[in-house]
Amino acid sequence: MKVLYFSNAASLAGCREEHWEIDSPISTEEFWTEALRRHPQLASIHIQSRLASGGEYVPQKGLLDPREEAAIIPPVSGG
Amino acid sequence: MNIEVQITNSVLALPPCHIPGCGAIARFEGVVRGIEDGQPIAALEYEAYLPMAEKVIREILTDLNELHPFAFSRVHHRVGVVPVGEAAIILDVHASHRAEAFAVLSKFMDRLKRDVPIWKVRAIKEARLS
Repeated sequence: MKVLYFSNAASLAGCREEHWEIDSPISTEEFWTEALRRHPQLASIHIQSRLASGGEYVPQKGLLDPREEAAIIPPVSGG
Repeated sequence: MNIEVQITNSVLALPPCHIPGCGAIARFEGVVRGIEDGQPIAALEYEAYLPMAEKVIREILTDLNELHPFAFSRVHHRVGVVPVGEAAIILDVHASHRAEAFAVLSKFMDRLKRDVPIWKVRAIKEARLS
């Protein structure tokens, strides 16, 4: 699964993109477990951040499809 | 209802436009201030998650059109380095009457600041921008 990091998520992770070896859908909880295992610094933004899959926000109890691009979306600040 | 969305590194400019049947054009420009967190700055740098940001902008405007019908809206957002005094966003709404145009303008900006994946990633303090 392609995983993208933006804004302070990218700063904390130290990268903007990764590829995770996952072949079946995972819950948002499982996603965060893996993200925090790889980048413990993300704990500081975990609660405020949302997840996206295939360019759409994933509900709190939703699933992320490994065939779709996933992204960590920290609090936005456009405009 | 038509929607035009642009997310660009270039200086923003919305050319004049008149839609037949529209008696109201409401326009908003969000301009980079010279102060961020109480400190003087020279610019802000923005980044966006494309194409999700464009998609979410269209979804918000489509939602708002159901409550406040309008004929046309343009949303142009700049990314990269935006110097103080220049626009980070320009939005206009063309509607039959002012009530719909003002409502869409105001509610869109609230939703943008909550849901559209665009970020101010850093404030640049140097007088000489890079």
